[in-house]
Amino acid sequence: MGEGEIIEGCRLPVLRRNQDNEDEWPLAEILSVKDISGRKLFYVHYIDFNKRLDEWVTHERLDLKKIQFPKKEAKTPTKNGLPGSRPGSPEREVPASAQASGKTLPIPVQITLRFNLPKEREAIPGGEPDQPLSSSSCLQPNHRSTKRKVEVVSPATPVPSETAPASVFPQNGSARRAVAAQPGRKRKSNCLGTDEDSQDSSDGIPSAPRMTGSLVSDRSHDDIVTRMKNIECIELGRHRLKPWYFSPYPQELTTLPVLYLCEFCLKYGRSLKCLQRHLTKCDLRHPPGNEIYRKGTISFFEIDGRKNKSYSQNLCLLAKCFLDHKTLYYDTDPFLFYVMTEYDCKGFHIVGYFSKEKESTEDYNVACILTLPPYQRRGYGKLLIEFSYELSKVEGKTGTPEKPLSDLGLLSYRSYWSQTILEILMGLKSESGERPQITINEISEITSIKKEDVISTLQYLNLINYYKGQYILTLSEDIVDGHERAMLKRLLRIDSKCLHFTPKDWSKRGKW
Amino acid sequence: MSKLSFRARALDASKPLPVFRCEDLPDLHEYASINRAVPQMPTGMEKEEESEHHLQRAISAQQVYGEKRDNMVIPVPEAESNIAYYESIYPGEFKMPKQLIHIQPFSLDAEQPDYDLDSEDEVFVNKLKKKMDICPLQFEEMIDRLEKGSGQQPVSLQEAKLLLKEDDELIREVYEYWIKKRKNCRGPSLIPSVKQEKRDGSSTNDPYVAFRRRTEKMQTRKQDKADLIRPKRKYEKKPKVLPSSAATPQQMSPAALPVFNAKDLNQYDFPSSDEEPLSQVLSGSSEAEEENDPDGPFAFRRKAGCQYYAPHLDQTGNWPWTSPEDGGLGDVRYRYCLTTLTVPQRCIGFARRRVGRGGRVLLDRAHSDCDSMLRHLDLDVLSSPRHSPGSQSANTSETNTSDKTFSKDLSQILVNIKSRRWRHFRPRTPSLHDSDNDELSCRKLYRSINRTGTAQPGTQTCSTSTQSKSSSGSAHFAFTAEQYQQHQQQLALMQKQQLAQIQQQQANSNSSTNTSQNLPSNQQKSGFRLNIQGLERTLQGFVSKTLDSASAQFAASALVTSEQLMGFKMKDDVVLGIGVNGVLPASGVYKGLHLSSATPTALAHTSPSTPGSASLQPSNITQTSGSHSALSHQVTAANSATTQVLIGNNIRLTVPSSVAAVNSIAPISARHIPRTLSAVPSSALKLAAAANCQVSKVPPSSSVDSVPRENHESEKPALNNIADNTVAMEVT
Repeated sequence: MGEGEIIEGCRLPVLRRNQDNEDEWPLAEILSVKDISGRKLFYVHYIDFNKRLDEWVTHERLDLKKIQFPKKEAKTPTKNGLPGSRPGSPEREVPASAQASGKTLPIPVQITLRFNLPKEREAIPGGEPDQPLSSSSCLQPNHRSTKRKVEVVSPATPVPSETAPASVFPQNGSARRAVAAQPGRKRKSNCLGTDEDSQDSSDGIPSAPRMTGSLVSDRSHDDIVTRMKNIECIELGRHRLKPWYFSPYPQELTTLPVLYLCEFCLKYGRSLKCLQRHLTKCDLRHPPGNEIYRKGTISFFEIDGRKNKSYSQNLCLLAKCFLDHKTLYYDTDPFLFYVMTEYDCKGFHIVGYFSKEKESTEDYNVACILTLPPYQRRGYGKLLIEFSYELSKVEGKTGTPEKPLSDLGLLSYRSYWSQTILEILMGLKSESGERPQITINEISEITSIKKEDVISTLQYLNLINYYKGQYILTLSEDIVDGHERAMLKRLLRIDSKCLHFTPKDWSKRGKW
Repeated sequence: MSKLSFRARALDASKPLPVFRCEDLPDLHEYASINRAVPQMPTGMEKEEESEHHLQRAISAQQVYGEKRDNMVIPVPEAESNIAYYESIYPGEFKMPKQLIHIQPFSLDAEQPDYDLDSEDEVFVNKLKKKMDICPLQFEEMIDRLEKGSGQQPVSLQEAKLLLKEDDELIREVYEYWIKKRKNCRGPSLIPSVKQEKRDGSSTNDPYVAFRRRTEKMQTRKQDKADLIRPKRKYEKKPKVLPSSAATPQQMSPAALPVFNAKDLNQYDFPSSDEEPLSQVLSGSSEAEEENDPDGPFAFRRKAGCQYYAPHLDQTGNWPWTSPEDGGLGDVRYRYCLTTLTVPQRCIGFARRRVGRGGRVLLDRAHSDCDSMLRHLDLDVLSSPRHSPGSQSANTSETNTSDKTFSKDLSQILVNIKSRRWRHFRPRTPSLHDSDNDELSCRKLYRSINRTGTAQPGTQTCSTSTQSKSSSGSAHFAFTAEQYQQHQQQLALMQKQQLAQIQQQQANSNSSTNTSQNLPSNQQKSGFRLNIQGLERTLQGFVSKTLDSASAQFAASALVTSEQLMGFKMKDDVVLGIGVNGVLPASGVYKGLHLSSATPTALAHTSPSTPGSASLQPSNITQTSGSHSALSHQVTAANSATTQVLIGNNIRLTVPSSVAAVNSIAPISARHIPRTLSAVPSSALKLAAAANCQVSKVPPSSSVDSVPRENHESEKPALNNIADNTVAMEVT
């Protein structure tokens, strides 16, 4: 079987090296194919793995013997066949049930043609060099889709094309064409009923996403473009970051091998030279906001998304590289950004941040939260979370992070909640020989953790028991030991005395 | 008690939960079967992601080991942290400030070109350097301008020459390089930027478009219907409002004063193709639509490109015309007072002005028992006091009588009005009673200027600004010569009125002197002087918004050029007629009334001084309050000298305004002192200080006094005049 027959939607085992440096062959789905100087690359999503691990692989890493082709029948409505994990690509035509494997030959995917038509903006394939990139004008439905697998070849990656500015975004290569129609419609046509979101306009009119919050609540706006990482590498200060997800940096920059960011203002540039030039002009040495917390080398800066748009946007673009659910659909006006920095002689270096709606209708005290990858797994995430609750304490409110949580978000929050609550429970003193006791509301008030999160944490830790007609909290030895060990490792803490923060009543201000 | 014979109750968050150690409860496991009575809370993750392999592994590892094991963590793509050249490209040594860092909002706007030179450019610049004088920064600035000057289409060489200040040869070289580079550039601009929303909505789903404005989009009818069927959350756009610190209450007050922004216009000009044309709405709208749109064609529709101030829901009554009990400012100028319309010319009794949407002036009428009589008030009689100082002084004996009770006697009312115990608001008519020869000639001049056609003020702006007493924030950026003339002419009128008032006040303050104040023969001069004061006031709102360094620069030069202006003025030797159909809001009568009722402090303050000065000082006050609106007539920038003077004076105006504030204007200017001053170049400050010095040497009363005296003095240095003005403003 030739590699030419490998098309989007195929599933097959792909070689991958795991953390323990062992070779694995997890099942993966081909999301896109591109051709760089005659060599084909396949964008694969490992089934049941988070898509941050998606990557471009060469055909050597594909186990072609076990390939499963997308099935034509997939178009028929079917609700079963959906794997537990999120579908590899939103418009995957195939339920990819095991029996489909090998039976069907690759079929010219008519279904994709259907997608092609309404999705004018994506119809900028390599074959149409005169199509301006920025054009969103309607293209005629064309012949291409039926033969797409053969002509997926797009011009070689980094070679700038003089004549065809539009044609050189190989990341999007062939996949661009497979892009789905307007979101509302797309899901329908695919009948991935499980994902149907009532919020999506059901009459096929493309609807703008909700205006509050920072996270995508439904994936219906997902398409193959946003499904794939588009930035190869980001250089930020002394770090090089490998993005995990799509981020809407200017499209012309997505072909660069490295995107250079100023580590203080986060402005993006094409080349090291540009960055050097920029640094002669940029005199920021810290995030451009007010420092509201400093202890040791750790500082927090507050940035108003309305007042400092350019920084806020740059920060969001960077953060989007690592936050799958983050949406940049709307402006940053209703958000505040709390940037955590670590100081050294070069300045205040960004470590992570969280954003927060100025006014949340749903008790959210965090919108997006991120520790930059170089700083991950060193306690900074918990520090960010702790800080967010410190702000809530000052505000006199309880809060919760905006949903959905990511996997890392869930783990971090659970860990923070567990430690915070256990700290309280273990610190309870019995009064006059009585059993110490506490209400859930009290825990919530002390910690500013929303009641629901307190309950879920107590449940998760299995502390709630029903005993002799009443609920009790029980602390097992394992829990106590585990907590004590964990707290020994938790050296970075927020010192509320170092916080200089006056909450503003944004509703009164009548503006963001 | 049987352990399992009952169902667990619901968990009550407000009920105390005793905390046990497991070892204290050896029989706990026997209860385990009902321990799951509390329903599991959702994790908050997406279902599909929740089941991901690495997460599940991490969760189970945590549960087994109590904490994360290194090999059980969720794998992420690797990051590198050893950029070798980091040290060399980022400048070294940044000392941590002792204090927490606070940034100034405007400190970030250092004007640096956004364009960053790349290696290719560097080669070019180095090559060019041999021939011409250029540095990388200059090159970046040029490219920056070219890029920002270009839209979809790059600017032409001709346009480039206008955009750039460099010499032609350099421009040509850089332009050619730029245009070639731009052609090869894959992006829409050499300065990469995030793709912006398209006006036509075609970019709704473009994944590369980000940071869309949360504007309330024009909705199509279809969507409206869909909304009816399936209620959707509506998010009201919160229009942006100027930070309250930067805006005066008066600026904030008009509910829907549109603020234009060129960028907005570009971006949010939604084409009408999506919208139902108005005619259709009018002709056959379904019931559902009517329900949606009860106001029909009269509904308020947002104008594309306009930003609207948010309504003050929390302080609904914060209007100058609302009484303090209702949360308003209770500005006396907006009290109910006698009001006369210009066309048709009649007195409508008591009315209150306020500013409505879009700057319209609304009159709230109030009924009074005198209405029938007031309607027959002889308007000519009303206006007479301006001309007849003699008759006025004759009236003064009556003014001291109590005027609290409504007199049914028409003549009494008239007297009250005339003696300014009743305020009387009268839009001024173009026909001037006190036309003299000078004025006639001036009118001609004015017309001819008009015809030669420097930008004639649009009617709209004109009307707005005359009404914009309460919205002094509306920007008057430009002045034309004829508008300036208009001001002068108005001011001359006002000055006359003031002089009349002076007499009035003299009477009021029981000064025995009944000096027959001759109307100054040299009216233009004093008119001019007062004019400056008035214009200063006009500009207060303006300056409060935008006194950038450029205008400050203007201001600095203004001090110099005021002399020129004097010359200009003398040469012309004119007082102009009012040329606009316009309403000139505050008449002298009104002002006088206002003063006598509202400025006891001022009067008290002046009482110890000489009679002459005592009467003068209030007169300045009245002028301030009254002329404020009349002067908010904007002036367009044809005559730069004029503009400069105006701004220049304004700066000085703000300096001394720490003096007790009688008038509502004073607090405004006081508020803006720091800002204004900070923006002023040192040269201007120096001059202002000089002007100020002069002032301080002269006791206020006498310097004020000097204004009328000057009427008889022939020439005085321009700067002196300015000093006088400054003092006059101090009173306010």
